Amino acid sequence: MATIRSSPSGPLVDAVLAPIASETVLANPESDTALPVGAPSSALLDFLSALPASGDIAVRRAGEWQLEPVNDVVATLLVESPGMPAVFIYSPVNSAPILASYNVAASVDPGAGLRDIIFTRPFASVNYCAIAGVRSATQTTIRSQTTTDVTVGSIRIMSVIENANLGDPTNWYLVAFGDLAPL
Amino acid sequence: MAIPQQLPIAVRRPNAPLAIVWIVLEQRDRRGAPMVINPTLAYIESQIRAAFGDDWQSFRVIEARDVPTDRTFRDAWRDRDGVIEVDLPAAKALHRAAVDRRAAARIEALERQVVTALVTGAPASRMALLRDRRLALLAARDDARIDAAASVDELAAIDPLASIADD
Repeated sequence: MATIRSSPSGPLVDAVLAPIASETVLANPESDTALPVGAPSSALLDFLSALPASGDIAVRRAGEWQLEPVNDVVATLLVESPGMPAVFIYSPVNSAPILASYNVAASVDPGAGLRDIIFTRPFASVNYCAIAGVRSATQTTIRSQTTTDVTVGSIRIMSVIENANLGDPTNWYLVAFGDLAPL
Repeated sequence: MAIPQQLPIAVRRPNAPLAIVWIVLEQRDRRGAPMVINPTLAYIESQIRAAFGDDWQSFRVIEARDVPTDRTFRDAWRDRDGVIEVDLPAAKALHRAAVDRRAAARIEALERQVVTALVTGAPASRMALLRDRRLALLAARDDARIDAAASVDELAAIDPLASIADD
């Protein structure tokens, strides 16, 4: 039996997972997929990563056990797991724009030194924490910053060269944390 | 992590550079389960609207190889007759603005050198040298070769500041 909490600071997910029936699908039933109370995000991520791609999992909510689709459970956990990034993207500026991403529906190149990231699943509010980064193979005075163009579904980031001018980096990076909108 | 499948879209916008929207077609959730996107016209439009609202004119699906890799004049890209190319007049304006910025920075530095020369009582030859450099930098902003350039490659090769010495 295991209790999952997505943050050590509080019971953000009131769910208990356990192999209560033979048809219950758990990723690793022989070793028990236990997560201790207050497990760090990395442990939660490991747990989620080990789950099967489909099937049901036993969940107890408000004292009642039930089988729920594992995808729904995971989606709920992700909504309520502020310790994990809700969005990330690694993108070179040129022809293969996205090399790695999560929760990104589109990467938009509107012009030199600008990049709009459209989220697959929006945030619950604009009060999320987005951290942008750039790397340049040619410029030594380059920095990134987010702009005021922040919505629940997208964000614009920009690359500034020599403290004043928009200019292309070699690579773009964005990581964002916050509560995603409920499904 | 596998590189996600993507669909590039060229988006024309009024009074703005051509935009390239890279729509992610295959994503994976935390557990590696694939989430495949069907890029219907409605879905493509929804992504464009997410980026630009109603501030766009038209779009077309392109291939990754259609996107220029040389971004020297990125903001001068235009989509004409099915080809993304650099608009030469727009590129000249960008090039001139870039020369202006670089010249302004050098003039600012030069003026600090002039002050230093005055304070330290530099010889007349030094003062004349600084004056000539300043005039050359001012003149560089109006370099006629920029207007006369017949191609993007020719334009890119023009650097009016290259021949002006610096300390």
